[in-house]
Amino acid sequence: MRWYILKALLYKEALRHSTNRGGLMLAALLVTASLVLSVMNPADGKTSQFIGGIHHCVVHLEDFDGPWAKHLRDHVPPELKKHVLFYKLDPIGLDKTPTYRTGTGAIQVRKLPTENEKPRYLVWLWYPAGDRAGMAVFEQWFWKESYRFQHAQASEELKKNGIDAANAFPLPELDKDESWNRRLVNQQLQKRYTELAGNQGSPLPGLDLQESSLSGSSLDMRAAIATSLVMFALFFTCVYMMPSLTCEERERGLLLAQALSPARVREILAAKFLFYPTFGILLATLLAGIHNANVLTRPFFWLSIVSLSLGSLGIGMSIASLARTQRSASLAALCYMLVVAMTMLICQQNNIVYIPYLAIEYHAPLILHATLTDQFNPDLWYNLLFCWILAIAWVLAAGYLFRRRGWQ
Amino acid sequence: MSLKKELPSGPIPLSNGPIPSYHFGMSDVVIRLSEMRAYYGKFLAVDRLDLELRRGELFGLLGPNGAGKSTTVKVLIGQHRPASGTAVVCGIDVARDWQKVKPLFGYVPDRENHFDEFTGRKNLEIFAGLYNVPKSRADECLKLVELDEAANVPVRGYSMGMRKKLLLARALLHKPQLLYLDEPTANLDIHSSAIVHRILQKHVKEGGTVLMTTHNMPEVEAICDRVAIMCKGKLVALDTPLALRQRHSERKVDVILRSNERLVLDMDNDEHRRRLADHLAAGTVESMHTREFDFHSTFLKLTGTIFD
Repeated sequence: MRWYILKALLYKEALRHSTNRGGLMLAALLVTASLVLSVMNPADGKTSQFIGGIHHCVVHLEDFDGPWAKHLRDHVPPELKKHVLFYKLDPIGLDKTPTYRTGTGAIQVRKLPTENEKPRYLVWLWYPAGDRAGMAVFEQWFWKESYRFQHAQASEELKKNGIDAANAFPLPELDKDESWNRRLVNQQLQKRYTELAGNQGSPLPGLDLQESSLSGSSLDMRAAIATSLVMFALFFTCVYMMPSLTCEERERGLLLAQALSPARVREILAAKFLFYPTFGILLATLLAGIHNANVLTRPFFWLSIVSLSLGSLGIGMSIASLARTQRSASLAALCYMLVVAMTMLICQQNNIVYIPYLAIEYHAPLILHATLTDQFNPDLWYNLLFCWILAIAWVLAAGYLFRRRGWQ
Repeated sequence: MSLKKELPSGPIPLSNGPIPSYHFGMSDVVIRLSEMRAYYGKFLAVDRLDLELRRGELFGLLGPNGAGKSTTVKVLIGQHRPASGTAVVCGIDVARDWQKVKPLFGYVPDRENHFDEFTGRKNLEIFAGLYNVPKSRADECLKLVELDEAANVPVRGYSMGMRKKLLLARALLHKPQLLYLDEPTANLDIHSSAIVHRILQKHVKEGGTVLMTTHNMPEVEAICDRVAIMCKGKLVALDTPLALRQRHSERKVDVILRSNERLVLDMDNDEHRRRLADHLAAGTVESMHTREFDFHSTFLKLTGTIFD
């Protein structure tokens, strides 16, 4: 690599962008948006719950193979089937606060020591911080089906004792009756059974109820917007602007003119690989710093930003190498973003786990959002690692494609 | 070693015959194309081209559209790989050592390619940086092509002719030994064309070599030392413009008789000469015009257009 050639090429890129009024305007708009966002800070400094959103509920059952668990699994209504996930609860580590993905709540059914040989359970509701109401639809389903199951259990026992449960102990129309209170459902059943069966012990388990907040699982709207701005800055410079301007150079024969100069293809590539990520990182850092200046002192933030910018560059250069015209490059960049967004959404809604791992756009918001909101957890190092692997893969692919056909 | 061309002595034979080859000293040859074939897909664009250009020569490459001229130039600048044969520039195989060949030539394409948003000076300064020449060289080149007064105007405000001249200025930045030009005077006015001709002639006088493709016949006759005419990928003629014209010229005379009959008589044909003499003696000739070939006619004849 010859420094004087890199210098000339970097100078050319800087000059081109300095005359690109549209790009400069957009960068200014991003910075303005970030400033406005940071100024419009709630006085109490707490995160706002402008929009909730719990789209999955994990039902963790210690007695996974028991009849109650089986009843719950068999009676999930169609509209909740994709949103309720059943897992066996591992008793080990029960004292730790569980972690769930953003937008996920949980209902844990834990076994407690028996009382007078009667089983006891702890039903523990976990909801994302600041979004207690988001669990309502899952709670309603859980308590209704639990009521149905326990009522059926109690009716069986009453029949064995010769009591006409169908008349004396009818099942209310749960789907129509919205007035029951979950806190009382078990107590109501216990009381009614005792009334009917006399002093005989109730077969119904005892239930303790508890609810706790999952810290960090709610969506901080301001941080989400700040994360979006940072990501947009990087994607705009590397995935949209870079292929668009590179293809413009190719269309006008300027790329050929540069290739016919003493500049080697790898030097032309290196200049683009230096300029665009640097520009993107500077803009992204500015936006992130406006939101939360502390992130600038964190190595995790810099590692995240660099990996995301390299990945974006690889994607952008791949588009630039394959697209023949500026118009097709712009469209390809927009299509790429749309395809990735739709894939993420479909995978999230249908609980498809592994496909999103293949996209930088899956890992980047997680690591950036956590950094911007000071909610780092060790699992994010895996996301960062994935981000780096994907970024390197994209950069290598882009380099290969550009050398083969990108400049002709 | 003499840099001046040496033509064979004596009159050029006027009959059609094999293309004469001149024997140059080996060290004079700067470009050698040997049995070069180039394809676009299955289409054979250049068919076994053998060509040598020497130092200090202004060489014209002519041909109708699709003859293979641009493909030949593309092979020389490394933009198209020959399917067979070799293209050697200053002893370096273009396909194998393209990086070494690049600094040796300057290329003026047929279509302009500038950064429209920058001034003429800025465009040249960017490329001066790539060629590692001082920025002042940009001003020298602008003055050479008489664009110094428009140097600070964005290129989007340039006329087609000015853009062409800027291309030439860019090609001259690093003082290359070789210049490849694709229709360099297209869209130029007479004055600008004269400037380009002057620059090219100066370049060859200083020992450089110029290869240019053109459709401008007077230009070819005026400035080219040698001309190659291509047609359908093949080389059909190679000689000086004068020699080609003399060799392929058809000496015909248009005669209009008093009876309004029109005759075309070939002065190389004995019987036709006798007929003309008879008509002249009989006083039956109303008017008579000689039809000497100009270079344009020679070109049309060699490339298959019947001229009568």
